[in-house]
Amino acid sequence: MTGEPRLSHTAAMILQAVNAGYIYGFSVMEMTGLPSGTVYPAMRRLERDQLIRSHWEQQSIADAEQRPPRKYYKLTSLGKTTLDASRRRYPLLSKLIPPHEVESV
Amino acid sequence: MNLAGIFFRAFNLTLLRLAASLIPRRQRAEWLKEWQSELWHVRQACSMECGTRRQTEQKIAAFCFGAFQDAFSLRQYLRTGVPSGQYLASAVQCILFLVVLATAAYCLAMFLPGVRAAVQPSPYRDTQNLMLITHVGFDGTSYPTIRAEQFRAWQSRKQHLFSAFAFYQPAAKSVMIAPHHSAELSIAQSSRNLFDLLGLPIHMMPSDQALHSNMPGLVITDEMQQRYFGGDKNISGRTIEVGSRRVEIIGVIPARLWTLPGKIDAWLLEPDEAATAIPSSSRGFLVGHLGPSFDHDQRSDHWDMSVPAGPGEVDYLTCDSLSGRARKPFSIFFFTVILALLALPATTALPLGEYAATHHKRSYSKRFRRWLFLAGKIVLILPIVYFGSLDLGHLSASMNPATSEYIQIVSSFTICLFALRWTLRDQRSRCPVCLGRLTNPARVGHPSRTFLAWNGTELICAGGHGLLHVPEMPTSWFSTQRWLYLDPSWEVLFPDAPLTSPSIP
Repeated sequence: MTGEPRLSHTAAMILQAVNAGYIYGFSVMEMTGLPSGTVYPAMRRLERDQLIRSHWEQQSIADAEQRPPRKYYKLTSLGKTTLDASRRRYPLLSKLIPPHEVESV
Repeated sequence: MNLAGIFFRAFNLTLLRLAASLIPRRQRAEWLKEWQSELWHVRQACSMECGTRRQTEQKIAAFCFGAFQDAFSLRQYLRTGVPSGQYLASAVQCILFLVVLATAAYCLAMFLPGVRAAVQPSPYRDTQNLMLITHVGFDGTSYPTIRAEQFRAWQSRKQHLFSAFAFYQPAAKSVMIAPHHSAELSIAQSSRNLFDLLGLPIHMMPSDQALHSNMPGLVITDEMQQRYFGGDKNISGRTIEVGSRRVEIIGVIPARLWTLPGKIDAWLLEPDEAATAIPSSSRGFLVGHLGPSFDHDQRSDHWDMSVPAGPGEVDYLTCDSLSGRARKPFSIFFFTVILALLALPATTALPLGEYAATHHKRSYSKRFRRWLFLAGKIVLILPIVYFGSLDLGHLSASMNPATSEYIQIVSSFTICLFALRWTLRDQRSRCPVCLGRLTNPARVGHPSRTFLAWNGTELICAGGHGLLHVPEMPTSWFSTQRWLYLDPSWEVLFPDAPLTSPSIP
């Protein structure tokens, strides 16, 4: 038995979405169809459990595109291990959220 | 952008700001920044989609409402994870709690008639020269001790000490309010000069207007007027029967102005100065007015004297000034506070335990704030003790004055002692930097190894300002509790607590 946390289906979906390249909250919402009140708290819990980590986009990039900077999320190594375990638990996860072309961060 | 667009943007931003108010201040800025950024992108994405304006704004509003769930979730986590905010607010909460207690004690005091009468200034005139005379051992009680014949004898004799006497004798009497309507009331049969001597500001009917000048006059309380005469303002001049005597109502007095012994509904003022209608053996209360020859510097508010009571007999009397009686509740409070201060060292250690184990100087503002907090607690405790003990002493209106006094003495001393004890212990168990309560007590060391290492209890400041070491057994090298200040390198253990410049209100 591995020591990774066992995720709920919703949390696993969000983790899969981040791994698939949906790297900010709104894109995860759009991909999973979950409301903001579910996605953002879940992402904070995932970050608290060190399955994902966040970082702010450089201000210069946002300024160049005339928009506010975004907060991006990325899977940690523990998050990848946990996602592998979740995929075994939820076999349809990869089919629900296929890999997405990673946006340049 | 049209007016509706501006309105919806302002509405969405307001929602986010409202949700942000749930987030602790330290995390709020970043949290709001993320949501505002996401909102911008959501608006961009929605505006590109096909749909009516209403659908678009509904979608954006639904997104913004989700911020509340996120805020609640984060707030809950921060509360259960690290008690951030709590340690900062606990000092203010403590002061607020004491303020609420003091206010409640004061409000209850104003609600209870007994306390209201005890704390108000004396309604009588020249209280320093007015003395309540009782037999020795009965002062402060509501037992009548002076016989009417003694009053008459002293009144007729030339006095060196007193210039005038007034006498009243309370008794339950049947009062015929109206035909076929009688009530059992407490009527004080009194000498006619009682109210003149006391200087009570009551509106009496002038004697020349009295319809029956030979009839005894009756002064009733406003409560009796309200209860039995329906608040009739023209009650003066009405005649009623008290016992078997016909009397004429000549005035009304507010019940709260009567603070002398006895719960009285009406005063039956005898027409003659000597009140000969009062039976000689009846016992009542005597009020004397000191003459101008009396030297106040040589006597206190309370003194005993002996008077000849007949051939070979002597009466021992106590004279209690009405000004002293009015000050009595505060005198009791003051006395018990002094007693409690004397007894305090027997119940807890007096030092506040802010001895640093390492060389660490706190700023003057932090030291001042700590002392201010201690002073604030003590200042708030005093009215709680004063009004709280008076409330307990006068909870029941039928309570004997002597019993009330005993209850006030005991409760005032007890509350004051334990409140001061709590104040010191509470102060010692707070962080000197942020005034937050220390938490997580942990036993350190073994009693058997006292000579090798310290053993005792270690407490920690949840704000990460330091550790408090309290020795189990004071030794020559570890006699008092010590405070170990933590430097910013410990910050990693307290992710949500700023080690520098805590934002204490």
